[in-house]
Amino acid sequence: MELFSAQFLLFLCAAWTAYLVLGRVKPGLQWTALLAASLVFYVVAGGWRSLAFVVSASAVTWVAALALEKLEARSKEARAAVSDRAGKKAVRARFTARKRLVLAAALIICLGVLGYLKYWETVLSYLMPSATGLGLVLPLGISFFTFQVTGYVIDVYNGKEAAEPNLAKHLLFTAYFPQLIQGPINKHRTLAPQLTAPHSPDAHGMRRGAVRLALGIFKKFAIAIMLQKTVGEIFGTVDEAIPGSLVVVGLLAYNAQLYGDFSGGIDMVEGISELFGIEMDPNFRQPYFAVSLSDFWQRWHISLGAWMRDYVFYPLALIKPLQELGKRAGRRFGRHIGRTLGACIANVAVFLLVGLWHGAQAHYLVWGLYNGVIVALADLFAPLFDRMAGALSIDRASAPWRIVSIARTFIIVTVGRCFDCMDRVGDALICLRNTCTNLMPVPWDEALIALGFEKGLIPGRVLLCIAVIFVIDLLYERGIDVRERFLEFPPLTRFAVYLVLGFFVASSLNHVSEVGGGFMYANF
Amino acid sequence: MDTTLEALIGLLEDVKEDVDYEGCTALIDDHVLDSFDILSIISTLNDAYGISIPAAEIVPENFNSAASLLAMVERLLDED
Repeated sequence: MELFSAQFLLFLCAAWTAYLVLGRVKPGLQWTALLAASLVFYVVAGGWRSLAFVVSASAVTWVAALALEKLEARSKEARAAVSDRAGKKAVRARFTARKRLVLAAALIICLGVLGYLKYWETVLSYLMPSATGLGLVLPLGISFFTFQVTGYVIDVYNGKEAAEPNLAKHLLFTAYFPQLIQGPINKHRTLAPQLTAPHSPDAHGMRRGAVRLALGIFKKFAIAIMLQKTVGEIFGTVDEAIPGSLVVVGLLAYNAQLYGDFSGGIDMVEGISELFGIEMDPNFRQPYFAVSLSDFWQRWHISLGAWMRDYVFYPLALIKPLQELGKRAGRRFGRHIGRTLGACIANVAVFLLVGLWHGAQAHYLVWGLYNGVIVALADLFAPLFDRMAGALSIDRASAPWRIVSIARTFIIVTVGRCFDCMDRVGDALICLRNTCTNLMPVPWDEALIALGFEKGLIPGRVLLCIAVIFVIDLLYERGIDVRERFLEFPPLTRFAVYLVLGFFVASSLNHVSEVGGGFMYANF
Repeated sequence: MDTTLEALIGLLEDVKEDVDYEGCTALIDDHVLDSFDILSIISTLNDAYGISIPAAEIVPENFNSAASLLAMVERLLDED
């Protein structure tokens, strides 16, 4: 079931009606309508096999969280019964060991299933190139719900979260249908209370949700779908002679396609969720206005970044060897290196892991390494850059320097995209080399035609749509709530805007039949 | 090590100067401290008080003010 389909529209109307009716008749059970809708969506969109995976992950983490809470309660009781400090410490250590076992078991099961389904086929192809594939298929949204529930169990282990006693409510947290396709990876403390709290219809909130949904559809269909074929044709078969100018066009188009696809899809599901009165965790904050690569990753796929920060970066940066390394480096190379080195190494590891999260193929690992190393070097050499800016009398708070920083970040991100959008590292390197040495600055459409493509692969109207999204993001960046302003427009004006957006979306529909309406991040 | 607020503020000032540790109650929420500062503070407090601050303690409630940091240190010392 595609999000933009008559089938989904019918499903959404039925789910929404059931949710509102149940909210009026039996508010305490309103959440069961969401659970039923989520399970139906999952079966229709992903099949019974996918449902089995989401229910299993939910059951495992539900049991583990309850066991962790019970062990903590018993630990407190046992400590209260002991009077001396050493005895209390021994009791704590004993129960902590048991809690660690429970946590490890839950993580191994959940991440093990994800790892096996996601990576085993690739590992096998490296180990035994001649072997036939196992035909493993990733269940819908498994990366997202696995990260979400493992984050929940770790939080319960750390005492940050109370265990959910009701399995059905925990299943709803795991399988809430808007988040299943491509996230966001929601925090239990922000999503779960909203899912089970009664909601009455809020006309303004629903209008806001509808605007976001419309914007998401516009991004996905008027931009991402329209560019999909172009990007595919440019980077589908890379040869040694590919003109650098074509690579530049392809990378710019891929940037726009990926942003339209992922942020558009997130706007759609966040908007759908808001129709039910539920706000999911944010995933984007105008990433292309970032002033550094580090800033970019705090604005793009925010929920994955937060998960990595909380459950990988900090625990890794705090391990003794890295702390010791930082201290030694501090004594030898100065205070700045001492305080940043450990964190920089942890950052590189996190980016490698994010690369691996995308897939086990070498190009994703290179992509992760590229991003991690640049972020790390920027942090390590920050004092040098400060001194250079001072020597050149650059006012880093000025608007022109901000524009330069945004442009520099865009270029760095775009170069990194090379390793993301091409399946082979060699192809990416050829493209980068030709961009530097064989730009062939001919008009890009002529280059496309020379390569046998049809004329006008990136029509002017797509550029217009990209400009519209740029302006909307710029307004958000300046602190303007565009949705609120839009809702203040007269109804006729809003209708006209919807009509224009609808025209652009409608004109992309023939492309949908060609390239499909799925989301890129749904594959991760 | 001295577990007074003054002593703790002295340690914090060694990590990052020019911060109003006595008055500020939103060190994290207002982005006064970044992740490098947080890791440096943890390392300094671990050494000074002989504790081991785990990653699970890195929450805004513990790092938003010198007083909340001291409360965390005292709790961890008590658990040790």
